Amino acid sequence: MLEVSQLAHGFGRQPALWEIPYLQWQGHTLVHLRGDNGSGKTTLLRLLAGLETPRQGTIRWTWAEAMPASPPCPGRVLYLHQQPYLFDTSVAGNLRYVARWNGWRGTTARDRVAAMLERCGLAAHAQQRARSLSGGERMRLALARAWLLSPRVLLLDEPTASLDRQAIADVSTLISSLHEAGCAIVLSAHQSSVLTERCDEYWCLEQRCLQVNAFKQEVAV
Amino acid sequence: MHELMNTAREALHLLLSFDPALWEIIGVSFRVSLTAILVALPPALLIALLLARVAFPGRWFAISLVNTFMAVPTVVVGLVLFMLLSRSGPLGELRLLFTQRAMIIGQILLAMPVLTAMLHSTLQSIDQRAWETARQLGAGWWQSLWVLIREARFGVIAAVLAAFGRIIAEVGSAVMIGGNIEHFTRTITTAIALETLKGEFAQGLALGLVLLLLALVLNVLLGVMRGRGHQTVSI
Amino acid sequence: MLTRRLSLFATLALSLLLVSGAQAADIVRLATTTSTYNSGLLDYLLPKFEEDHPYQIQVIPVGTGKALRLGRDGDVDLVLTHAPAAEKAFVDADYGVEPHGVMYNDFVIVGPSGDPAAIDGGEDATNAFATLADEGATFISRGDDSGTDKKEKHLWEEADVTPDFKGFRAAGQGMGEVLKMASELQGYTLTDRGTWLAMKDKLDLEIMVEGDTALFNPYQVILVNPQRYDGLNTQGAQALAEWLISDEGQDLIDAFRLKGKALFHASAGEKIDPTSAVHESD
Repeated sequence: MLEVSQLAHGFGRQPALWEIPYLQWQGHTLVHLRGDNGSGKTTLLRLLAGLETPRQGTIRWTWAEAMPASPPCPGRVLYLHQQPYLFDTSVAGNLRYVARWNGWRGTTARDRVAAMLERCGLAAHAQQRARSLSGGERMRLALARAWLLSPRVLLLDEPTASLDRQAIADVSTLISSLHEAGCAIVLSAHQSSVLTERCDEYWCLEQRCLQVNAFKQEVAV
Repeated sequence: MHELMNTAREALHLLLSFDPALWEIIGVSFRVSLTAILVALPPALLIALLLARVAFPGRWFAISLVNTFMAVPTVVVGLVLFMLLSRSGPLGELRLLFTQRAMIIGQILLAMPVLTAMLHSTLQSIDQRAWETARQLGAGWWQSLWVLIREARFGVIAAVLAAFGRIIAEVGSAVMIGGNIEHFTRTITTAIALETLKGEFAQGLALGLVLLLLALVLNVLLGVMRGRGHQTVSI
Repeated sequence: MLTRRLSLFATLALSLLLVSGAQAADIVRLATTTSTYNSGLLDYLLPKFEEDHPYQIQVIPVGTGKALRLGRDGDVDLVLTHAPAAEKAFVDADYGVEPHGVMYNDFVIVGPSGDPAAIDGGEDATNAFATLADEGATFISRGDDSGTDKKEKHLWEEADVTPDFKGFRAAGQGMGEVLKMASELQGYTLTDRGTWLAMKDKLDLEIMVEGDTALFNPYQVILVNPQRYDGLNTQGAQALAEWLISDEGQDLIDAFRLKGKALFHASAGEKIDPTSAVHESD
């Protein structure tokens, strides 16, 4: 469960981008974080992932099982950049990195990597250089890499922003299956799409405030 | 002209017949310079990472300092090291003067600024997202560091090649602290500089050819590495 | 008016041309060993020669091997060296003409003050060298094919030693560098007395052996054969060689002092015998 209180953040001496007096989220739903460009969506996601330290206020993640309570907790809450960073190696190599860092060895590592490539439709590209993939494939590889860790929460920064229609459909399907597999997701998007249609909850950054559970009808312009 | 042709022919003969004296000199050069690079690389990497990734007060001054050291003439390094290692110097007790170790120390000092400056710029160009991604996906601090270096591998190799080219071709400090002692500290450059005084031009020319060939190989490799490095950045 | 100016200009230009042409012919190039140059002997002699003769001497201080090579290639007009056998070969091969003995100086064996190898044998250089090899003492050799190096090689031969013992180091550098190296490594070396006197204040070394006739060192002046190359200043070279062996030159050589000590002993007219034990056999 996520609990946020008195949270505010901004850069340098500039005034805060927004202020969130209080927010509670059970961490099961598929959330669409909406807001105009520059409204501070990325900053909020990075704060929730523990990649930035807030200027003021607290962020607390609590889990049913015993876990480090506050971010960063790698593998539990993961943030994906709008342009995911792919390591300069093969597609399978990117997944093998994750396997190695988490101490999986031998057949365990091999099986998990192979299964994930299959599940994300990347098996045919396994030996290809990651950086030669198309935009949709890159996002799928980034999702596959994250999925290997079975995160509780994924924070996706504009996952479909620069993709064509077919790629959006593929990525959306993958995000849906991730959610169905038990991973809560917050995704930011400034425009509605096939993907945002599927969301169960809506957060909206507007006039330096976060409006939670705004009605779908109000949001969809 | 006739004389020149004869010398050239003799030089080629020395090279191709694997003249033991000649190849011993080449061996000393490579052993000293390779050791110096291997020893200098880890600290240079750490300093470069520090300069590229950590914002600390005086960072810009430190970067300027590294660039300044790059311009220090090799004879000045030789002179300072000579004074330090001399019997009357503060480190005289170590009895390092006129040994390969002393030459290695000199070449480390010469290689460090080149390595650090080039590694700094290559590590600086690595995306901030690489570190965040590795850390989030469960990599430890050292594992993330290693993956960062691996991402910059073409730049790292380019830095090593450039530094190697600089130290194997330098003569100033090699003569002063090595002493050009046969079988011990006689390197390609000291042999060319001092053996020619004997009138033995063929050996000098042969060693010169080796250096020229080495420079060609290093530059071709550097070109390839630069190309690949750019490719990585631009994609 | 104009023609007068023109003719004046032409005269001026012509005379400048003549003067510069004459100057070029006046230069005599002398290749000699670092030992004569470093001792200051040439700085002392040559101005006196240039005072009375219309020549300007350019000195190229190198090792004897290189000096003879420069002569062989016609890059200099005359040589002043100290390696009799190599000089004999140089003359026999017609590279040089009119060899004349000019002077002697001598070599000394120096070493660290404690004399760790216990060679201090007074005057016996051969015996000292044999002891050095037996003890495996640190010995810095010039190893640069210079006259001193040839002298040293000859002494090893006399001592019946192949110089590859434990402490033997061939530096391939000049006398000054080798003395510094010997001092730093606290080893022994063979040096000409001139360089030794000039440098001994800065060195942590002492004389171990001196006065052995085997350590004497004869200098010859040889003209480069004018028949082999065009454009040599043989006239100037001849003037310098003759002046060096004249009474005036010889007296000046005997009078030269470095730090109050006589370095060179004039010896013109004495016969130089390349097969004698004094000289190397390279």
